[in-house]
Amino acid sequence: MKRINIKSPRRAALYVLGWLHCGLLAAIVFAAFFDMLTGLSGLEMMAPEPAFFRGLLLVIPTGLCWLAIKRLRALWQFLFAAIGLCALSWLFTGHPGGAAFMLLMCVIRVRSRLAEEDEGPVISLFDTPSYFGLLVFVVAFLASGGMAGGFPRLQWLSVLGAVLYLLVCLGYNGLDRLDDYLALNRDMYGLPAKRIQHIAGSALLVGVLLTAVLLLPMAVVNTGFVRVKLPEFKSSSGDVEFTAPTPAPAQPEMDFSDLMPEGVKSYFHIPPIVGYIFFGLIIAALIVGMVMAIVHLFKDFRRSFTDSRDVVQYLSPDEKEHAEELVETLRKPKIWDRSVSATIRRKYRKALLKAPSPPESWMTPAEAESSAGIDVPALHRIYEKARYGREECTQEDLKELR
Amino acid sequence: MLIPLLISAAVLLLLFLILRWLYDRFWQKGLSCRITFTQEYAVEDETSALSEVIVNRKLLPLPVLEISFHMDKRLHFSSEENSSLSDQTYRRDVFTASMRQKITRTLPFKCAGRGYFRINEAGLTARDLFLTKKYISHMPQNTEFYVLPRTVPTHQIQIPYARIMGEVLSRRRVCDDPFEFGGLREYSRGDPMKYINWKATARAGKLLINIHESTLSQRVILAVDMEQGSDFLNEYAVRICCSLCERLLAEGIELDLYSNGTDIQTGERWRMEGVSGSGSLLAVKKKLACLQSGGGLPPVCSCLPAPGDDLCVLISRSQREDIGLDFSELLGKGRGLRVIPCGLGTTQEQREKVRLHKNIDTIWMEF
Repeated sequence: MKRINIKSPRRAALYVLGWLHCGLLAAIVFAAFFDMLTGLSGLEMMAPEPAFFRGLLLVIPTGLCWLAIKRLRALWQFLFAAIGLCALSWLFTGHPGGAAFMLLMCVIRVRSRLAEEDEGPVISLFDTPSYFGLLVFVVAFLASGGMAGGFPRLQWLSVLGAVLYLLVCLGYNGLDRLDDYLALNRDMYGLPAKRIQHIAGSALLVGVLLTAVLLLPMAVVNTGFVRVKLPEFKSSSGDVEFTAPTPAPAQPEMDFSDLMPEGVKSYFHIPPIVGYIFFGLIIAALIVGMVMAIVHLFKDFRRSFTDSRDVVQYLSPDEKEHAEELVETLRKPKIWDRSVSATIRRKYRKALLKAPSPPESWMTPAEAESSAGIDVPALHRIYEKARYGREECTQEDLKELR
Repeated sequence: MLIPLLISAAVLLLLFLILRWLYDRFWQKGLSCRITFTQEYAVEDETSALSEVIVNRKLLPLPVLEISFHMDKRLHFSSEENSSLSDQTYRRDVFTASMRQKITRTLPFKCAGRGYFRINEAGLTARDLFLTKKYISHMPQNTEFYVLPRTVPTHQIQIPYARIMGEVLSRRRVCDDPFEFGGLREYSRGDPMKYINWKATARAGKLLINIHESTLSQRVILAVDMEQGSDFLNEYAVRICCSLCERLLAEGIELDLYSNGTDIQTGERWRMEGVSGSGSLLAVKKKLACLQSGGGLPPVCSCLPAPGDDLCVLISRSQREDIGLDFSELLGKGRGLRVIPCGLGTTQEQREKVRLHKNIDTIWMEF
């Protein structure tokens, strides 16, 4: 048995995300197949929801298949393993489609291994989630809304699956970028790998979580149905007309009629806007929580420490450098200062900064103008009045400047 | 309903674009990078350090910040894996600058060769929070470092030094300074009466006279030949020059230094005139650090002034006939010293091939 050297938890997470992508794609294909089989031929072998969720279980045989092809030395050993994996897939999915999917995967993995022996590492699509994979969910969505009769359950699953797949892709691509960078520079002396991982990894985690928080609840509660009317081809004019999607049925509103005594008609319905407000509040609360988590996370950075040979110091606001920076900012008129003097100073500043070589901070106005190649006595005079004069500038000064 | 879902997706996209815009706009704001040598100078084979200080004063963290700069290959960093070597060393270091942080990294290096080194610019490459976009910029730097030539061991420099001092002492004119007391000796016939030390005579019971030292300043011209060829021996020529300067300056001898090499700082012909006193030694060594050889240099003797009464010492690895001839012509009726650094195992036959001139005293120094 070969030994697999997984160098870091980051790499392990990438493998798992790769298997998840296989499971999600297989799940939506199975769900679409069974739903359409039921809808088109009336033969109900399996409901789309169990087909989808059981299809997700293919993640396990996919992972086992990867381990088997990497660890087993001889291909005949893998043959036995493949038989077992096909059986396991059938068991998990509940239909021979799972076994067929696993068989296909095993064949491709064997081919990849043979190619690897000759050409070096081969990147398999089974291990690499891609944003193009979302097209499978889009096709399923369009098919569910466009085909005669419609498949609302498939549509719900395709939206849910697309959101899950998007999360997998985001996580995978972010982690992959991080892993690639750290792997590329792993021999570099003094590489702050932990800190890079800390910051970029935290940002990625926050991004994925935020995406999950914003999209996943909506995908789960999205029980509406969108009918897609495919464009009709008119032979007379040659134009293709795209009919806008039919208005989606409103989100099922809570109906209290079942709770009412018989004979009493319910007249109370929760308006949809309440639902939106409710979701909005939840999302706002989650965002606030996330921001607080980020602030808490970054509080860690407010300390001085030594990492390898790096001395990392937090710059407290009362440092001299900050004071200098503050002085620099005080030189500019405040953004809310809309007085004539401030307007003149802004204009002067803008004129100086337009020059190819902006003046240094220590220069006097005359030196700065000379450095910038500006020779406008009126500008100089009015600026000095606005900047250093006791009296406020007037509108006439501003007009003169214009 | 898909509308809230699409709105949420749009919000996410918008947040991402805002973050991207923030990085595009402000990634360099409040960011400074300062590369400095921790010492002004060091001697060959010593170890010094380079300090990289990164300051990020803004609230946007930079998970990856790469600093790159060119450095001469004569400075050997202990962490060579961050460097790629060609005619120069291209060094790249990665930092992580979180919000309002100052990071200081010290890179020790060994001074493998004499020289003057300067860093004028550093390249900055940063990435955004998700490592999706790269931002590139440059920052001017202003740091310099001298690697001074090391001195030649005492037993090797003793011979040329003794010869030089012998020549210097013999050239001292008999011109005593009555205010520079040198000691006492017994009176001999012909000594002037004014030099008799009466108090010492009374104490000793015999006539004793004062001996006075000469305070006449002596000047030595040192010329270093940097003709392109053997860098190894050229380096030794510089080291010999440095060692001689150290000793001669300590003896209070004024020096004029010339070379046909160029000054790396000014790009002009290398020279240093009128150096005296031990306090000038560091300046001499720094100047020697700036001396560089190169192709198409003129003959060393063409860069020397007429020595006059001063002693002229030529340090040249070249054993060519024309060098000796030119030097002899330059000296005229005066005398000079020619120091030839050579490799170990230079045979007597090879040495005899070098034509000797009456007015040149030749010294071979094996390294």
